[in-house]
Amino acid sequence: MSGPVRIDPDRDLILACQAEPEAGFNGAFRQLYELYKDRVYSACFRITGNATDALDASQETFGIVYRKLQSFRFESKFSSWVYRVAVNAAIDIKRRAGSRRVTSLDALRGGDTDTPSGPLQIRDEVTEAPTAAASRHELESDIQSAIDRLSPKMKTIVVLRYLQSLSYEEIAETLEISLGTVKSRLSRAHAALDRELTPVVDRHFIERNPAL
Amino acid sequence: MSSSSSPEPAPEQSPLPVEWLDLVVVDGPIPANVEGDASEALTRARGHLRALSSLMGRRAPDELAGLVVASINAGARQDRALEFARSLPRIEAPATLDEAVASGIDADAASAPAVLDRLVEERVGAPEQTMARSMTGRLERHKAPSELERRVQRELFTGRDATSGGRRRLASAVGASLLAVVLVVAAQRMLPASPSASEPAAPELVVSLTVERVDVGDLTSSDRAFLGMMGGQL
Repeated sequence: MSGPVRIDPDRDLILACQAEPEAGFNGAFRQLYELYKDRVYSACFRITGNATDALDASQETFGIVYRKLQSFRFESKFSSWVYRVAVNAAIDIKRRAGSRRVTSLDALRGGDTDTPSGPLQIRDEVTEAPTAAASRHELESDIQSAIDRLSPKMKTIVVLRYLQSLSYEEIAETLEISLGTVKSRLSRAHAALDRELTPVVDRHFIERNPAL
Repeated sequence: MSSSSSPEPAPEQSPLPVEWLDLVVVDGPIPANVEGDASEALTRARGHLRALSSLMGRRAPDELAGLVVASINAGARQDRALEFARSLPRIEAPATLDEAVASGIDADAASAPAVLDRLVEERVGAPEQTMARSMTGRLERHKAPSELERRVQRELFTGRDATSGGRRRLASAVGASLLAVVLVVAAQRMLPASPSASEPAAPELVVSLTVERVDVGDLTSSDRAFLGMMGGQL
């Protein structure tokens, strides 16, 4: 990828972390963690498909980030680097876990509801009607199943583009591939989603809302 | 997972052209220049996006912070240990070490145990058996449960009963034989006298019974009484 051409929005925080290498979790790294924890966990959850593996992958991600942070030289955007570590950790843990675990419906439920961080929006389930919540859980379960059936490459690019809202350039930097590869892979991902997700869309969005 | 409503596989569709990826948005009309299969592909892609957008972000659980702290501390401890090991002064090996090692190696080579030849020969000649023996020899020995002792005792007791039963059967057979002889004798005595009444009285009946290989100790008290009645000698 190209060299350091832009100011990283996390630059000051990273420099603060690098200035206190012995501070552990109590220093500036804690702020970095708070800034990225939901994004990392969310990406890991969508790639692994279950909460347990997502937690393992997130832990591994932050452990790696902490250990390697001293040698980070802003050759890529920090967020892209964090996503790269998270994606690799999630894919690796998913591969290791294989099919030993079955995702439970409880694990698929949303987390607690506090102030959202970063670009993520987190739904407030407290105010949601029971029937609506049940319907949403079913839909989420079906969509997650469709994502799980994609190959790791397709799954990753779909998660980064449509769930983490990364730009093509950020995806290219994260996955260390060219912009053209990002787009062609995304096009192929839509072809895969045609097989896996279109029936879900038809059932949930069109059959229940014929006006759409 | 809602496996009960697994969808039918969708037919093969035309792929979404790369140049129209930017048109994959949740809302908005399909541009007029997108027609035919491309229009359908774009519509489906927008459906994908709409479905994916309905998935909300996952909040990191509270326990993640603790796990990260543990991970960081473990990594820091390893780094410190590594750094400390690197900082240790290098100690030169004494000049005599080479000689000592060399002589030790020679001594080891000369003192290979004689049993090694046999073990190697066995391993080469019958690898399966040797390996099986070696592996079974390594199996952990388990202490026999107390239930086993109880069962063995019960089995032994039952076996002794069976042996005694055999002896009893032998004694019963002898007794039955003697009873049969007595009945025959009694029957003969009860028969009417022979036509030659003038003849002298019938001679005294002598019953001779020989029992071979009977263990006296196995005879019951009734056997003994019968034999005594018959004038037998024990």
